[in-house]
Amino acid sequence: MLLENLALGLDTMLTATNLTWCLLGVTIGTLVGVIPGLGSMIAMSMFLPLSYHMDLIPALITMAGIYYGSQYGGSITATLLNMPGHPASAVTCLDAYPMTQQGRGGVALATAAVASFMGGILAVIVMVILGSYMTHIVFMFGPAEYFSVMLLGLVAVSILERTNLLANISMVMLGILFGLIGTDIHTGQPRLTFGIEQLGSGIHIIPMIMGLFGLGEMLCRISDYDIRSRSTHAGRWIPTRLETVRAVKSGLRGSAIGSVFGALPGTGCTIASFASYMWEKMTSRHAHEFGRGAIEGVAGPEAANNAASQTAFVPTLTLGVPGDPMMILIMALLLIQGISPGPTLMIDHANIFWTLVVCFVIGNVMLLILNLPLIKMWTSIVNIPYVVLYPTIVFVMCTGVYAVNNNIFDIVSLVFFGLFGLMMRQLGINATPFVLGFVLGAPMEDNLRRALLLASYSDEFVFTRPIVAVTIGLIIMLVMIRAIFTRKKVYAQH
Amino acid sequence: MQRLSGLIVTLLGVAFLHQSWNLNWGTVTKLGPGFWPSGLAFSLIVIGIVSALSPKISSKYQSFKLWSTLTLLVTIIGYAYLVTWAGLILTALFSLLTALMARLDSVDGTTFVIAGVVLYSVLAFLILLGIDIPLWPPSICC
Repeated sequence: MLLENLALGLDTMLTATNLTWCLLGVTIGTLVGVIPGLGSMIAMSMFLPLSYHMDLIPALITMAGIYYGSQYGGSITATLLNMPGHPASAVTCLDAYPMTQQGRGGVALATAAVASFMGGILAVIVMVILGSYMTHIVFMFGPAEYFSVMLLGLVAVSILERTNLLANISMVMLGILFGLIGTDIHTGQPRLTFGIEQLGSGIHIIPMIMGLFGLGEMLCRISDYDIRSRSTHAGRWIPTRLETVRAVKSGLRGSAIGSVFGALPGTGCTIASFASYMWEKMTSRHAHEFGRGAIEGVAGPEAANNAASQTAFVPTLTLGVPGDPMMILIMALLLIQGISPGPTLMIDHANIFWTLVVCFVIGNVMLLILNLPLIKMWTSIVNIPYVVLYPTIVFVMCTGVYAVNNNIFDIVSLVFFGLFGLMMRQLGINATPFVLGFVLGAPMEDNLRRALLLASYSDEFVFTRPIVAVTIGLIIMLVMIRAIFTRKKVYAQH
Repeated sequence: MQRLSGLIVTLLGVAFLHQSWNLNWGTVTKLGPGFWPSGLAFSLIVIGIVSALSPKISSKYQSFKLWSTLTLLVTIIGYAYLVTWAGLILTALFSLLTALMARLDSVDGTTFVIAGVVLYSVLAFLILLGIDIPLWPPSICC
């Protein structure tokens, strides 16, 4: 049965026309992903009206290609310029950019490309094997489970960072509060808007990330940059044997994490890549290297990001529940073409699911072939003189941020978070806890409120649910580990 | 530095607590929109105070030049002001020239850079992506 389904997918996909659309999709996706601030959302939105004039399969193949092509494209500027092309690449900045500063930008890019490929292929295997079981796994996660998993992520990022614990906790809380700015989804009441009307719809993640990472870095370091040519060299692009072993292991773990998170509606690639980063940091023997150029910090999140972008299709197609805005666009494309996603799609339109599965494999091979030879070209960006590079980045960054909503307030947010990023650098505070708090804050509150409401109608005690109990156990374990290490450190100092 | 960051965190906590104070807190089973933000803001104030009073932890100070920082900020604020009425080309000219001023010693080969970036912007943003930004000010083109 499985082989028959795969043959059906191969038969549909392996035509010159569909292969050309796939290549076009991944190429456009990569090129748009490279522009800071412009991610898959913009490219897919622009493509949606064009899909009216196309048949279903070519339109879906192109849209999917743009989606995962831009996931890779976003990591190029994150690696070389500390400017994530889209929110999911923000976590790549944390270790890939330090690698570039150490002259290992080529290795970081190659790792990102191969890890993305691994994530993509393993996610396809997961989709094929677990295709029909995925829906059952998804149903195991209720609001209480989502809340506990998100809480674990926040606790991990706060206490595992070896710098100032209080600063990390306060940044997580501050990130959550900034993420809550806007309208309360349960009551429709505006909150934390400080009387600013534009904040009623919340702070957009793109200007926040671009400001905190990109502009903050520029404001802080512009006076250090060499004018004629940059002192940073991208160096070799083939990793050493040891780096390869470390990257492959974390790539596999990232693929597994990304496959699970992608299939859970409401999580998406950004949370998947952060979850992978946290896992790598928690379990690595090289934890001290994180934030300073650890290869696991690039491979894990990149694999998770790409894996999640592919398994995200499972709930969209089989449950009709899109996990993120990009999946809403995919669903819109299907509805435009007269297909209703839902449990019967796998039976009534099996060719759509299986063509996508084959399309993912071929698209990922195309991405790898397209990007590995281009690494030399991409890394030459870091050697472009200041006179060309930085004015261009400022202008493209502004246009990218403005283009998200055609809203000047987004540029005001960019400046605010740029200054905030500058202040954090001056005070020696790490930005990662803030970003994770911002991303998880609103969904965490939503899930907590729903979990408590559901619990009030049920006799079941929330904390005895298996996934919640395991997660809370892990949180207690992490806190105890941190406490033991801190105690040992204090004794050693005395 | 840690005292200053503790103070900033406390002030931000106070600002958020002030904003969330009048929101409904709800009940234990049915949380209101004010519960979560007020709880977090209060915790932030406590952590900020503890952080400000804790023993000093050394952190590496990164120097920056005020001129460069201010010029970059002027570039971005100017972009926000110009883009809706001056059109993409005039906004690009302004942004690129002011960004170059952030490093006065770098103004060289400017014409080449500006021509290239303007051409790229028109191709990428207007033609390829079809973003709704006017090319020229409406008073010139219409």
